[in-house]
Amino acid sequence: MNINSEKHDQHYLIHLDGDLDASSCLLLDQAIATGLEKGEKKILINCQLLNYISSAGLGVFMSYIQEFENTNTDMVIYGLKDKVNNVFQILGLDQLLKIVNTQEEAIQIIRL
Amino acid sequence: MNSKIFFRIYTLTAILCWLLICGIEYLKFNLHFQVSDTVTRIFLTVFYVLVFLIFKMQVGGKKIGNFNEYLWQVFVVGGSTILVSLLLKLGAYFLNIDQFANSLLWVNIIYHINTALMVVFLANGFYVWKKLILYQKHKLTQSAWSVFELLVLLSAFTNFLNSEIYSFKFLIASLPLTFLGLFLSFNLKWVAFLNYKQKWQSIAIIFLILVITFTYLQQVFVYRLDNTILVNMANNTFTIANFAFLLINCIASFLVLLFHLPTSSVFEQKFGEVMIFQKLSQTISMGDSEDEVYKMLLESSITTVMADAGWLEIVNEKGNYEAFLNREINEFDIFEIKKVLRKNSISIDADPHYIKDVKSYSHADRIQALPYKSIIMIPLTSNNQKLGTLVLLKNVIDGFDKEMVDIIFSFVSQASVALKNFRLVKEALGNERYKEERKIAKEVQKSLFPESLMLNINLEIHAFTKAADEVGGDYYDIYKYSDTKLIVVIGDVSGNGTSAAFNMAQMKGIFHSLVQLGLHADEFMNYANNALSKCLEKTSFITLSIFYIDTENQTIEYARAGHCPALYFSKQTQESSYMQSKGLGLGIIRSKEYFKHIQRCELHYTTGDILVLYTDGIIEAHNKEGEEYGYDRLKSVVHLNHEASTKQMGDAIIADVYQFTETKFLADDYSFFIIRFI
Repeated sequence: MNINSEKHDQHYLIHLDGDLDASSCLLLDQAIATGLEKGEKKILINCQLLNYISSAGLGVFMSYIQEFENTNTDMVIYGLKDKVNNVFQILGLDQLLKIVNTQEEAIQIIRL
Repeated sequence: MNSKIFFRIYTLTAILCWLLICGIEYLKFNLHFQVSDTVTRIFLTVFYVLVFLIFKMQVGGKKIGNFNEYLWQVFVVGGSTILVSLLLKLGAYFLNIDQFANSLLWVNIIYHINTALMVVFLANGFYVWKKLILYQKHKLTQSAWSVFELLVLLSAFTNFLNSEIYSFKFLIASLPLTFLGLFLSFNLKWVAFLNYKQKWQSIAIIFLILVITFTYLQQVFVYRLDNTILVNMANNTFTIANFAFLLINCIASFLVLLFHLPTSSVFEQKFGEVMIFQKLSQTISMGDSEDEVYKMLLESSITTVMADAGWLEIVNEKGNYEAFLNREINEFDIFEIKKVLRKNSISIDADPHYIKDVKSYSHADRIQALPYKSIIMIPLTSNNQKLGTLVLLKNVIDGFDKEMVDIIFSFVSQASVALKNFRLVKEALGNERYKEERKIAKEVQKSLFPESLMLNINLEIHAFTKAADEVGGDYYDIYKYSDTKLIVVIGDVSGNGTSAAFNMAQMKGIFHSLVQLGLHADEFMNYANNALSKCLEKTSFITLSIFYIDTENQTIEYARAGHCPALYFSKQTQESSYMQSKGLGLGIIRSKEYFKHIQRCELHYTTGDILVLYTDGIIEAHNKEGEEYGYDRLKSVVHLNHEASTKQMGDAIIADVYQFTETKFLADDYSFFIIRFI
């Protein structure tokens, strides 16, 4: 699992590459926490290369839902593969998280 | 038993012989009865030999413990016999009545008493020295002694020669005895085994023994000149040889002891070091704690090299402090020393390091003020793994010589081995306990699943669960609300292993509490979410599907909280489909908002329909290429087996999953729960 984060003019972008499981989910948690600490209000998560997400990985996203609401932070997930998207949907996280197909759509949402 | 009897026979015979000698004297002097001197000599000789045999048994039977005790015995026997003999003399002096003084009988009786006491003293001394001489014996020494002992006993028969002490005959008889006696006297191995204090004690006792021996000798020579004595002691190789033997040995031992005194402290020190080694290696087998090993290492090292202070640091596998022991130095001073060493870029735990004189280092005054001048640092390692460091300090320059450093090195390596072994043993025990506990957890979790599934005659149920570890996060349960109403639940706790298993147990508790309230499916989820919000950790959640089955009206009311959608096979249409509905996992939103995200659904079933519940372990099982088993494969295996029993269908699913993954082990927990409506 590779997780890279980069700072853009308008947003903070996190790239996920590989399998997000119990061991690698800590890296994601760190990446999001770092962004929040820096005061980022617009976070994009690129999941184009995300191959698999375990319940622990979902748990990381889930644990930030409340915090995002409290700090008025926007987080948009894009580029989910069908298989991974299905996992989000079954759990019902698609009702709580902003999930779109492309980066353009994602940028559009955070500009609103 | 046998030897006891002999001992008694010897003792009685010896006493009898002595009484007979006295009786003969009585006959001679009072009754003027002529008895040949030879008869007296026979009894005397038998008496000598018997007394020696008695002491041979008495001393020989004792176990060697402390050499000083033996010497002490010689002194006590000698002292008490000489005391008795002196008291007799004193008594004779006070009772200085003519008839006694001039009575030949009286003089001779006194003489015989003295002789008896002296023989006892000599016999005791003889056999005690035998023990000492034969301590750690060679074969040669042993044989020489046997010959010597035989000769000495034989010499008792020289009584009959009655030759003058300075005569040629006497000399010839005593030559072999003298040589052997001298040869044996130099076997003084026992001296080396005494410590300093014991050597001084031995010297004192031997001196006293010498005094006693000379007193007896003096008596012998006084009597020799006395013509009233018929059977003279001094004209006897046996007596003289024994005196000579005792004297030579006493003097030899005395001198050897004296010369050994200066070296005995070194010997003791070496002996102490060996003992410490032994103790260090024994600490493990004796079941002492690691702390004992630390304490022993530090204390033995400090005392052995006479260091002024020292400390021992022990670290665990991760490099964190596990123990810290200090002697004669406080933590602040240690901190100060370490700071100075660091400033001089000396790492106390990298390699052994010896600072002969701190003077040549920067900030030396800070250590000198404490006041220490030489420091030695030795790390404890095992297989390149760092265990800790031992540091010793002295307030003299170059206080640790090579010998000391060597001995400390051997202590440290011995202790390192001991510590490593200790940790290995502990680890092995820990693993064993862990395994045992996991086994128990597995048993406990097994009991959380329903015992019986046969609760309604209109339902044919088969269920199966398998955890990736000993315990897992999958959960299913069934509750009989009434004869026609059943509630089935299936769920999956996020994560797996022990923490998931605990949450699964909580879920069971919540299920059994809420299910009795007669709630609707969506209300159940709402309450469950509420309850779990309070007890699940932040990143944990539970997916759950609940089915209220009414066999009377043939309806199913259900709600899906983030769990994989159930697969439904309709007999009528001969088609199977996943029951899609809106529903958020439990514990994801921990507020009153949850009810917005859950949906209650209802359907009518007909006889022959099949409901397949499962967990995501089945869907997400993947093969070597990383491809998931997926929903379509499950759907087709269910479809293929819709006419088989639920048990057969379950077996078919398992077989299909394993055939797909081509392995015996799945990464996740997986379960299914199949219901056929009949």
